Amino acid sequence: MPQRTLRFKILQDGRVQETVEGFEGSSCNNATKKIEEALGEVRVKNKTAEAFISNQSEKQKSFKNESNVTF
Amino acid sequence: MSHFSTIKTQLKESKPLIKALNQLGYVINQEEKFVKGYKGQFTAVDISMDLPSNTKVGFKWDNNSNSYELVTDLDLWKFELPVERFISKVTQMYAYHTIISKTEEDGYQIVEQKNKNDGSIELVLTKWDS
Repeated sequence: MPQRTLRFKILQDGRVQETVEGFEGSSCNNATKKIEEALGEVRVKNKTAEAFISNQSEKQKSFKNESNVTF
Repeated sequence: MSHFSTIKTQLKESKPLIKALNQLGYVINQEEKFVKGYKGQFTAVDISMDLPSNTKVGFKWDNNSNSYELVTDLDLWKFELPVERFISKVTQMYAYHTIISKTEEDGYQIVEQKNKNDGSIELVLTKWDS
């Protein structure tokens, strides 16, 4: 039974930094989709180290293609 | 997968916006849904407020940006906070209330909340997956 953790830092100017931990596969995207939709525009989305551990086979591909996506 | 995102907050929903304004102590005046500016021009708004020092501001829904935008007459701005600081404070509190309500709907609980020296708010929420 994993514990899922969402960490937010809401900056003084209203920008939000969000870190999501404890999710497998793409479920973490679902977890924060609602929040991101209500808040606005996602500027930068990085997979954290944990994402690579849970998905070894795609490690290289993910790192190259998705480690720094700017919307 | 876990991830890290940075989000530029826009005022997209009225409910957390009103909560934010209330929490900051601003009194919403929903009887007069307009902002009166210089030379008596009126602009219709969705949420209107009287700030201290007789400064009128409102928020109006904008279809282009899909968010609420601030309406005020800068020539008549007498409130102690500069308008940029005012909008930043409102946006920060809007983000806070949006996060709290959306995560609560999904069963998350606040385990930590800190007001940091740099003016930011840190929030940690958790949920045990069943």
